[in-house]
Amino acid sequence: MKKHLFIIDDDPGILDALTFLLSETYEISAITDARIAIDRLQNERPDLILIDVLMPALNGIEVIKILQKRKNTIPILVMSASSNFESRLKGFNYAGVISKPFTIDDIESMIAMHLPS
Amino acid sequence: MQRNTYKPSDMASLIFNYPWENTSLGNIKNWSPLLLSYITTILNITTPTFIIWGRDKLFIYNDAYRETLMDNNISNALGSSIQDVWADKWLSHGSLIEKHSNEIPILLESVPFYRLKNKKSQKFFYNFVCTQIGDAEGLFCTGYNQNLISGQLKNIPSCKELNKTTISGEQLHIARDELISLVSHELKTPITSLQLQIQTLRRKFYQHKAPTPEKIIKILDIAVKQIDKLVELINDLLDIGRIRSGRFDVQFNPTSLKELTDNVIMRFVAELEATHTVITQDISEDIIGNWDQSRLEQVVVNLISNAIKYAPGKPIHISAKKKNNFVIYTVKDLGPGIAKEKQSQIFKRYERLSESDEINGVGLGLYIVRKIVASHRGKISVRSKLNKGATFIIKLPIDSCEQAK
Repeated sequence: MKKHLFIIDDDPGILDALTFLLSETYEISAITDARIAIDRLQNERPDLILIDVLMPALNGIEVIKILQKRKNTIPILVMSASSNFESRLKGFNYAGVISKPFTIDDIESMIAMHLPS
Repeated sequence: MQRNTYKPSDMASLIFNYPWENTSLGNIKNWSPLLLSYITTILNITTPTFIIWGRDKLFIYNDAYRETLMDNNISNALGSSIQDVWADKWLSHGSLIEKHSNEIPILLESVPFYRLKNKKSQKFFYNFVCTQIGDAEGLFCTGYNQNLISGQLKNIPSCKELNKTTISGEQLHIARDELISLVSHELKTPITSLQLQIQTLRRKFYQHKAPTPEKIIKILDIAVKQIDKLVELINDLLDIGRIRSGRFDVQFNPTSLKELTDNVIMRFVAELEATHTVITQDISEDIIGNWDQSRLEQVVVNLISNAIKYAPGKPIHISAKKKNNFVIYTVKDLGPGIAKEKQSQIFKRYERLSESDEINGVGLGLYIVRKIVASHRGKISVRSKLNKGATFIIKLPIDSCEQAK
């Protein structure tokens, strides 16, 4: 069975590209609004979460905080276009950071590396 | 030594009068337009920025840098090879620059600089982000002030000294760094999307899994949109450069305000639909003035896109009325409004209403808008209360040319 990824980004261009790229290998849930993702994560358990930081309504760090409170064990990969971003993630539970812009090789290897086997 | 008297134009004449014909770059008249456009760009940047170009890695830098380099006793840094200018740093960072051959920016961390201030030497640390220009003919590097340490050069300063003497300078740098990080963030987002779409498309073709024509069109549409975003941002930055150097031109021609507004609204059709935002307008067809149509369109684009950005889904109303020799043009939204104390700031450079990460944008828009309106001898103001929406009011002379005389 294909592994299931949640991809959360408010930019439809990036969501669309990632879905296009990854849907052959993985089952993809592409979500533009992080609040919907939080709701869905009550009942669903994807194998990995790929999340953007800068989003309206609910940003990536807030999502990580909420999931941390729920004792989340799903690996979270954070996509960010800000430099020096990792300092802001100190103390949070996340698997890795991918800096934007990234190549398809970057993202594929990051996902493969962090997917639980 | 003369200091603090240089302007970008002075630095420009230093660069353009340098005897380049004696270097491997040859006569400046034969330089590539790409290099010249990068030089124009760096002159208008207010943080240390440099270009290294050509096989000898010659160093061309902006004014924000001049002082620090002069005090470093490298008064002849311009046109010298980076390997000579930064002999010591070349040891630690040179290999990075030398090997750099792909599109990923490289980071040069903690490069120290010195500057004399009140006979004390200040030490700065800069992080540089270097990106490749063209086909690796050169590198474009912009500095982020990492921190600022002040005191006697030979005596390591105490923390107390440090706090006393550097606050204002530091604040200045924070504001500039903030802009750079905003701009680079805004650039990276569309580039990420473009890069992914196009790389994926290429890969599918290589794997002989060509997507359907519909899919390809969709990808190209997204790519075009991302490119538009990039162009828009770059145009804003170029306008800022033009404003600063006094080269901001306007050309007045008979222009219909109704037609102009319709044109702009047409461009927003997709966005209005996606955000369920409705624009109504009340502009009589006979309002025709002597204005710069494309510049005024830029104003309206900015005001509408702000209204959609801050108040998606809420109605926007645009109206225009003649009043003597003037037109009063208003764009009204029902968004979060602007607090009184913020209202005077929004037309300044790099100001954004939202300090949070929620709203994308660099904060150049309204500054440019104000400059365009001013170039028409008009005025722009805002009327707003918190949580009660905002109305932008532009007062334009019917004949901006006439007013100019």
